[in-house]
Amino acid sequence: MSNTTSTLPAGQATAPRDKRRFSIDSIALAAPGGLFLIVLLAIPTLSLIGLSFQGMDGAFSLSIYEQMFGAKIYIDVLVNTFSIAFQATVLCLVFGYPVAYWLSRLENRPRRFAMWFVLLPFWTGALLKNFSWIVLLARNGIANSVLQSMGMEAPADLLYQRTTVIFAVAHTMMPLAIMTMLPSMLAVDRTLVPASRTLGSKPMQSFWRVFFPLSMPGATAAGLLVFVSAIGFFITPQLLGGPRDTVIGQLLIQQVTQMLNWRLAGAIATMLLAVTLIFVLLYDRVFGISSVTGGASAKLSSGPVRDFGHRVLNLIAMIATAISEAFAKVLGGYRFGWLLPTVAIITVLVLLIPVVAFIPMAFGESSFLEFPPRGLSFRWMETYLTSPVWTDATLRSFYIALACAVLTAFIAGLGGYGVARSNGKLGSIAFMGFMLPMIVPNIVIAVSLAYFFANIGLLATDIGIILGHTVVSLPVVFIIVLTTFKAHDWRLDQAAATLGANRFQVLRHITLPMCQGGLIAGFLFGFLHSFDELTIAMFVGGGLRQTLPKQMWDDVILSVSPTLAAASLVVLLVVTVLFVLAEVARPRA
Amino acid sequence: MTNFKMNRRTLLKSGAAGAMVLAAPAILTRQAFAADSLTIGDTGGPYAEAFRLAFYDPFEAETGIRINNIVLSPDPVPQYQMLVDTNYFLMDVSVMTPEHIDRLNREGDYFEPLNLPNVNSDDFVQGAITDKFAAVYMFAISMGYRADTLGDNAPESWADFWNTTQFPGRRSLYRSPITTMEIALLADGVAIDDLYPLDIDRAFASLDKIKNEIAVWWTSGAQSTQILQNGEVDMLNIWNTRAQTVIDDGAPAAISWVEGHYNLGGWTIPKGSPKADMARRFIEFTLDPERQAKYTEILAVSPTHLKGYDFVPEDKRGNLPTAPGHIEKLRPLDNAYWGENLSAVTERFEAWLLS
Amino acid sequence: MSNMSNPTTKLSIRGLSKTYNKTVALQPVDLEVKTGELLTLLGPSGSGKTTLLQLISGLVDVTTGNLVIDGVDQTDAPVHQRDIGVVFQSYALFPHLTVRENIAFPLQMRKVPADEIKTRVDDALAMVGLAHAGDRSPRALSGGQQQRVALARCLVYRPSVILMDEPLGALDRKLREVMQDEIKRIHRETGATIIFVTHDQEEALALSDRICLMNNGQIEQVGTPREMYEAPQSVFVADFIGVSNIFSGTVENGQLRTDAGLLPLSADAPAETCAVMIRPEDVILNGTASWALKGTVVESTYAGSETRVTIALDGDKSLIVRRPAKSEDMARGLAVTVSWDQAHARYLTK
Repeated sequence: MSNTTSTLPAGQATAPRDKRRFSIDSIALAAPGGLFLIVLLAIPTLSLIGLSFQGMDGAFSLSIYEQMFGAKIYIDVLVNTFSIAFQATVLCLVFGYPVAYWLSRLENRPRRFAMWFVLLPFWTGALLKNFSWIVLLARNGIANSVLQSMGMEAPADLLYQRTTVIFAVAHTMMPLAIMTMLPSMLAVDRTLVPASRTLGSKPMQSFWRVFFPLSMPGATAAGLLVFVSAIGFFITPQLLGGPRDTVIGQLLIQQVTQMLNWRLAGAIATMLLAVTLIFVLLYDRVFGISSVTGGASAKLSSGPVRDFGHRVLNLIAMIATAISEAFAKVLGGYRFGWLLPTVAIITVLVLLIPVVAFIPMAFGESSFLEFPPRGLSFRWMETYLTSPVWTDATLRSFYIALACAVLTAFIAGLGGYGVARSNGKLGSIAFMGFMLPMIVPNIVIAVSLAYFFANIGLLATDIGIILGHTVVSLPVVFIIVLTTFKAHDWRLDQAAATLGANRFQVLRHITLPMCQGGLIAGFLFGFLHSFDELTIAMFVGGGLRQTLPKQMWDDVILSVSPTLAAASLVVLLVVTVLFVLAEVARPRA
Repeated sequence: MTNFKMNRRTLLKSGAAGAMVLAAPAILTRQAFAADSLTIGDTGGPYAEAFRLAFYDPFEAETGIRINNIVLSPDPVPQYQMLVDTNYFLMDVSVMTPEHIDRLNREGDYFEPLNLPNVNSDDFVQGAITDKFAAVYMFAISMGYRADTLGDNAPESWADFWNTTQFPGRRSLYRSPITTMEIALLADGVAIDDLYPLDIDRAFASLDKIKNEIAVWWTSGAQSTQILQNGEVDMLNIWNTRAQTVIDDGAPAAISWVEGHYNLGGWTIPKGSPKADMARRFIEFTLDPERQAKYTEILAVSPTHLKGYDFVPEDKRGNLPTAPGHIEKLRPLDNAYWGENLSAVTERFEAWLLS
Repeated sequence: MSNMSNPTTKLSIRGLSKTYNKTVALQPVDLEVKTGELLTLLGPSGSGKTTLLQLISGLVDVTTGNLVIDGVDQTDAPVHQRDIGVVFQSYALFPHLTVRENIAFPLQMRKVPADEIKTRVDDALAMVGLAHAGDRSPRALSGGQQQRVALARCLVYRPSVILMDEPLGALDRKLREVMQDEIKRIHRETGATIIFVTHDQEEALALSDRICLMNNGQIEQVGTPREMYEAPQSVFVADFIGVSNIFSGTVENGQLRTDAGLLPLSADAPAETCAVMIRPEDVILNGTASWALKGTVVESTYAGSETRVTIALDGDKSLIVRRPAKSEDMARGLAVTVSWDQAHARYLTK
């Protein structure tokens, strides 16, 4: 392990002691990250929770909870939130799975190409896509025109419906689901399905009894991530939903940014966090949390859940086989090979629609956002580029994203290195720690940080936003860096050490150059994450420090001008360029 | 700079010395546009355009002081409160209504006195000039509807709006009790002069009757504009300025002025603002009748200066709340009532919406 | 092998070929496999042996030709209806199922009653000596144990033909030899028809009833290991099977002119002979034959049971000789003569 062993005489006495010292050394690199998360995640969340259990006089009191549970509205909203998140998660899995499956079966080159069309809507952010739907799904919008041209009589009420909210939430989260499911599908040994065929199983049985259960770790991880993200998600219900679709996020915004009622906000956040954690624990009981991290174990779980799972799969396999055979009989051996690519490609196209629709809207002549736009004009582009409000917000977003990317890359880089080089228990604890911001709903982090920063004078400051963005972008960047370091061949470092390089030289000449692709990708993803982020910016920015997404959100709420489309176009360009860079830099497994 | 001091103090307090490095660009940027400029919080959209034309650009031309504008939150009160509490002067002048001011006054001392010795409040409509507030426009909230779908069968009262069999169409209301409570009572037969203090129970009973017919509860001016402009709904309660923007854009929309309310909007200076003097200079600049009339070219609001109306172009006069035939149908909004009751009624209103 | 006494044809291949995008992976080939026989498909990588195996399994579609199993044409039958078993190089054990569930899988696919599945799985586990490991995950087993599970999974449903695609490739030498014996034993006990793919000629010689040697997408020669070793029909076969010394040249006056000099040909040597092959163990050093080639010892390697001597001949030709280990050492640079008994020489015509 240690490169110092090679410079020492390989004595029996020194080697083991040296090894132990090294493992302590490397995991210690995760300490800054741990400290960072304790100060900026654990303490803020706990102090907000603590606040909710205090009365006005500071003594322990459940009065705010009595008030909250007394008013049925909070429970109703919690039920809404979970119901929307749950249904959206199911949609994401049902439609995301075929896309991921289709991607996993493509050759490498076409897959890389196709994945860009999934990742582009991922990085262009929720705000833009959801606002696009308002225009496209309007009563006199293009979707209704198409429906009417196909013979529907009255325009359908597509907006402000629960169904639309669930669709749009699922639409927003779908790329996340697909990208989480894909790796575990790619990891399935390609000989297993042919093997099951030779053992006598029909194609449908092979899929359901062999491929499907093996792809489950990715699917369960995707389910958890999408669900947790959807719980804290408020953009879609706010823009596309009616009052009955109100979610917790909106109530928190109201309590914090309008009522400044921290105690009630704390109680709502506590309730949300508690229910989420209970859900995560149950999830762990059923699926095993290791599925989230994608770790494969040699141990098979056992017990009734597994038996039940296998029984269900057997049943599905039988039914699917019967159906496909019945079809084959009716249609005379008709092949269904086209079905998967068709479903997958249509799903990907639907993912792209709202992103692409924004481009022409930026060049319309009307003062309103319309699709298709009338005329061609650059006035909104010009308004965007000359308005100090928009340019200030854009510049602020740039330097906040830059600072966040530097800070995140530094913390995640050290942590990733430390965890990658350690096999001990501390390593897995550190790993779970770095993943925590993914498990705690974003909106809870945002409210806790806003409260914490308000107490120490960092509310409504750029530093506050930078720190907050760093907290939420840590997991993704950490994972990228960790996989990079894990894939690195450390024997090369040992080789360099035997050739006379000291630790620093090894790092500088071997480790960093070889891992730079992953580190650059981590940096760029940190940048993108911050550049896109709205929730933290909204709460911690305190309505005073406007980032570009916050400015866009305000524009959606307050003025709805095509300047928004022009700004979105700029976001789209920046994101595309950075994303292409990140993808090019990212090392391939 | 107060601003810098605050940053330094909090940084030392939180012990995050390393964060100084990160803060550097923020401080630099802030100082870069600090010199000789004013930032105004307005309500965005057509308001921002109209004020740019009437006030911001002329003021820049006359004084060399640059005017930046930002858009206020739908409810600017918490933002304003935070701004004063944290001494972060995102804006030096902010648009408010008397109702906002009433609410802030209940929280504490949030306004810088205006001290405008050259301004005579008698030259203005009643209530326009106080020691903390200088109104520059008057706006109305009434009913907007689609002329293409409703045609000759347009609703002419809130009772008509409630009558879904005789006046079919998709409806929308403001997701706020302000004015929504008033029209619910009007629809239930309360006379417009007997509204205040509002009978909240009766209002909710009246709203129960229409609740299932409300397709959209709009939350911001921009949204009300959007759904009227693209025909998402056929009728709604809406600020006249927002409806006029739709009409000016060529969409087949119309305003019914019957049983509406009007209110004032104007400037305030946040307590402790380092640019209070410059702000006073700007406010005084906007109280000129001819300058006020200028904004009517874009924005359908009435000047608060009594002589302002004389400078309004002929073709714009008919759009204003104060135009003959409009003003008689409008009543002032009771700002004091809402200042006192807003949060309680809002809580009940939100719960009612979700039930 | 009792079945061999009354051989019937199990599987018959006629003109089977495979072309991928104009690249010919397998030329049209004919092959008969007898019931109960263990036939190896031997050849270097790219010779077409795996393609042939995949065509038989049905995992790859046939370009031309026919495949008949037990008298029934199976050329276009779906994989799962062919009643063949495949043991994959990577074992292809299902990681989400236990060892027992893996073995039960093909029986479940065939809707065998549950109690019968249990007894048959138990029997299969016992046969491969893993009765204790049924409830473990395949991932928790060693390579050799995984190999046994893969075998058991294949044997349990008694397919009419078992295909094995380099199943021992991932094992170390010792384990490979143990598994070879194991496969032979199971083959003997079950009487299964096995087609075994390997690139290791020693493994082929050790295991097979017959060897089918393939090269460049074609079958070079089919025969018993003894036939292949002792009577190769081409330079390729002679070179590929065992260690051999091959002298190619042209016939001149009853002799073969080669780079190393003139070699005698026996009277029955075909006229179109193009090469002479002599195995290392048949070379005589410093013998008394009427002819001999002169050479110099360049390397002598002691290998326990034997000593392998490399001798440089004229014309940059070198020759390998195997001698009993007990014989005296041969120093580098020692001048020697080499010759052989004409009866041990093989005359190759292609």
